[in-house]
Amino acid sequence: MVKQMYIEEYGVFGGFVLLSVIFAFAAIFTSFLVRAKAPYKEKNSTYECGVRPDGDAQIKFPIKYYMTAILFIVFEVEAVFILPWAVYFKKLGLAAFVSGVVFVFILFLGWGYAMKRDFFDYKK
Amino acid sequence: MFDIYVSIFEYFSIPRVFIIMSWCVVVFCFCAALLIGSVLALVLWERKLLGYFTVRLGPNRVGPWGVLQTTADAIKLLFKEDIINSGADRLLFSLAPVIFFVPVMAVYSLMPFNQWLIGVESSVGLYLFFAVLSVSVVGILFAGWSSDNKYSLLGAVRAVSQVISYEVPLLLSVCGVVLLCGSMNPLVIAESQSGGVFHWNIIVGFVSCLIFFVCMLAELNRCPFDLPEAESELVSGYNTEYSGMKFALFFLAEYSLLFILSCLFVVLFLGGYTSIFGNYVSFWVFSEESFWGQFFVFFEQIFWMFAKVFFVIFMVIWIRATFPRMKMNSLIFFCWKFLFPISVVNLLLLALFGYFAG
Repeated sequence: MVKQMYIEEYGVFGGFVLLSVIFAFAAIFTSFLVRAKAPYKEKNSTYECGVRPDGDAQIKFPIKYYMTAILFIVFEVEAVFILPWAVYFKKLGLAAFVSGVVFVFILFLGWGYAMKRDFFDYKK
Repeated sequence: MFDIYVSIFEYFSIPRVFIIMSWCVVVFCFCAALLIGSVLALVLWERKLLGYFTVRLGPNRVGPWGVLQTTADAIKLLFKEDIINSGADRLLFSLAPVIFFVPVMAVYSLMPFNQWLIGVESSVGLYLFFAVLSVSVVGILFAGWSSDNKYSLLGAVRAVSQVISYEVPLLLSVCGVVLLCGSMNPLVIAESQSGGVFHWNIIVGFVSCLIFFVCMLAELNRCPFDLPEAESELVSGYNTEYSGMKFALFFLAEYSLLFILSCLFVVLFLGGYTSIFGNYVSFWVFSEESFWGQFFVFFEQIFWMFAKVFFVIFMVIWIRATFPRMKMNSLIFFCWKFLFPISVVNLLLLALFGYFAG
């Protein structure tokens, strides 16, 4: 049942992605052919629940969102490293478990630091 | 299925490149039909169920029992005007729905709907699944930023921070299942759970299952985590300025993501296409080796898969009809301070279990 992924199968997947792109653009193009078109200034203005748009739309938002994104990269890379570890865990035995615990512990140090600095608290 | 397809065409001595290319198109047509069909059915089902949950009838005018309602909506969206507001970044604005839609469509090829029906069988199937799926976040950010609208920008920033935050516990809960099954191939994972309810991963990995379900709701931006589309605050979130077919692509992608993530949930925890009884019902009637046995098992597996998937989707809709919305700070708080440590500890416990149980 276990099967290697050959370059052919990546090719099939690549072709699938390409066809999905074509599908999406074809849907937009079909609608381009049949849709109505009657723009005027008020219709094309920014939608703000009916009132006149106020100020620039490129507003500031809290820095905490960036913090979340940076932390996401760290912990997502952790998950990416843990997945192959999980696949071969049963073959590797106790040594794999110990190294896994050490790996997770080091990450937990970083997590504790982020907790201490209130990176996850959007209210502060 | 791929092997059978290749062997048929090699019998007629057709070059292998053409076989691969035609296989790609065949799989795509199947998946596109499935995607559109499932979304049309899903939206109707959701509206009907929400109607019943709130003691209404739901859509019942277009066609018998309202079955043509979503089809009519789709055709209406096709003919709607495409409004690009004057301040928008036109290129990114047009590109965003495509970037959001394509990864969701692409992962359909990695999902086994029965033992044979899988577009791309790979030993790193789950890896590829999540790697490709996470690209769609870029589409959300493009949509929000290019719209030149405060609601869109805030909705997109909220959606992105929510989706990427919940992806960490999601992947860690998947790690637990991968550890139990010893493979990232969805076919192997589904196959290892055959033999009835008590062999499913939900028994051993119950905590993983709960974490995955919660994170799935957050990834989908669904209630109780529907902050990016909080109607009372942000109009419609990152797709506020979209109309016509571009809005339809967002809509299509969201609902097909619901479908495909439910499929993944079923494959990981509820035994995938395997029967809920010990053996397939077809084998009670026909012998396992006979042609008719194999023939009916093909459809029986599809039936089990879709029955389980629609059960999961029913749960998701039920939650939407029941739970109130969370606050943004408690959403992030819940993910990083509660779900993340629990999923890590759960993974290590599952590893210990796997070590001692063999």
